[in-house]
Amino acid sequence: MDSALRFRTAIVGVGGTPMERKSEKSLAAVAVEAAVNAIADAGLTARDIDGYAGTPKAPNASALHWDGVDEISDRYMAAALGLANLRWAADANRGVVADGVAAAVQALHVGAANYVLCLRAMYDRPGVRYAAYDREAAGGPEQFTAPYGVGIGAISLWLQRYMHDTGAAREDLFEIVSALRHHAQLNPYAYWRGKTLSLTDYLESRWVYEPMCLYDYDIPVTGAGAVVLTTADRAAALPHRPAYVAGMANTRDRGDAVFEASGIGRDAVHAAQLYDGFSPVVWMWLEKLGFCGKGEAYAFARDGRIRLGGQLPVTTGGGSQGEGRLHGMGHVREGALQVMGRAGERQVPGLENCIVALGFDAVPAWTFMLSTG
Amino acid sequence: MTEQRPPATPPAPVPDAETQPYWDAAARRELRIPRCAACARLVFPPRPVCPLCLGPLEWAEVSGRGAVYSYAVMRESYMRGFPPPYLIAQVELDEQPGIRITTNLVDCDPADARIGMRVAVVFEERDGGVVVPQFRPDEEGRDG
Repeated sequence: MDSALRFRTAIVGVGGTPMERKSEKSLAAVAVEAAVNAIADAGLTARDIDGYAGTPKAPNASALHWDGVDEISDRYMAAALGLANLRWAADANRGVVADGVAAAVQALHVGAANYVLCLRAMYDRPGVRYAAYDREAAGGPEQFTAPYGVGIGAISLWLQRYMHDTGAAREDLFEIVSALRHHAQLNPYAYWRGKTLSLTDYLESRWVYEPMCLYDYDIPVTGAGAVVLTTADRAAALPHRPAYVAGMANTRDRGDAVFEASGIGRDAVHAAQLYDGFSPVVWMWLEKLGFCGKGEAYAFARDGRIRLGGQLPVTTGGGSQGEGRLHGMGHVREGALQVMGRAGERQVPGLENCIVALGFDAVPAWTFMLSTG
Repeated sequence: MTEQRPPATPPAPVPDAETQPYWDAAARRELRIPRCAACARLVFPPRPVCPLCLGPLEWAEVSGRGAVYSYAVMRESYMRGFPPPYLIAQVELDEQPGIRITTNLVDCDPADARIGMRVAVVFEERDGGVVVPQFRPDEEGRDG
């Protein structure tokens, strides 16, 4: 089953919008802009798109969950783009981009669709504090956290324990924060492009969830990203070199599953797009995927090893912190661009295989291996 | 950001079929955790059956003593009913490694929190009569 999916599908077009904090544009406008860009980039038209995989959920506590306003559905997109030949569509309701990409790969594999558009659009509503939590009651898993004021960023407790156990310091975490923002300088879409952040700025910034400070969080944005996938045989006829999906695996518990699924080993991976919604997640992924041992990621990430030009360039488009919070669509797009050889100033020379790891321990996560084939 | 908001109570827990006994016990000032009737392991948060052996669960009263596994200090005001700064901790119960309860650390200055700090349960009654387990420092708690 693993090997049956190897190299059978590919990303063939990418699209996006510049990332803004509060924007004059609507969510629907940025979603459509990114989708139109991706379809055109693939050398296709809206009439060719017969599959759609969205991940619409707005995860913030202040969300309205209104279609086209702060979330966008398959129905909305099909109508807005005139997807007259749509025959397969799915909205993964968790808002985890990986769910949508994985569904697209599966739909293509079984022939439910031939050209699938994947979208993630985010909206940072003017006049509203993104993270504000004002519910009077909390059920489900939140009944054990919200009554204690646990807010977004409880990974801070993981970080505190990690620093205690390993001796990692905030200067080490800055290696992650700094690399992401360094990479953002080379990404035209990135929110952080043209901005600077020194070690002093970082150490003196305000705490949010001590030991996490403001710059350990991703950046809420209004913006969107999209990719188009098709089957390997169809990909060959399109304008760009395809970014083949060599394999994919759910990596909630098993970090090595994606290497088995793809048949591509760690040593053949030339860049890693690791989810970075909170800085410590990058350490988690480096260890989970086995690029270093447990408790060693903070040391591994030193000395420019995860920067462009280093041993394992990580999140080369700037990710959620440098580019903006698209919950992984930026990572998918960047992985595809690297494999296609179209990452411009960010291009990793000679890159053949790029891993894309989305989500983290609190969110069952898919990991993809993208490859030149 | 300087806007004055009316005082708000923290979100009240909404029990469900799996968790109702936990909150009922808290209202009686008891800390009870599901324990597998087959393999005797504690399970938290509550689940329908033991995730290790799928055995049935019963509600066991525990000592309420433990150690701080980790903690953090929330310094932003975005959670209803929680003016910053305040401490959030995971307490590992003495009864079983890995059984961790999320709590505030009450009667503890943020600067005094430490990993490994001994703590004991207390019960906090809030407006509306809701009782939630909380933990506070307990220097003499080991082997207590």
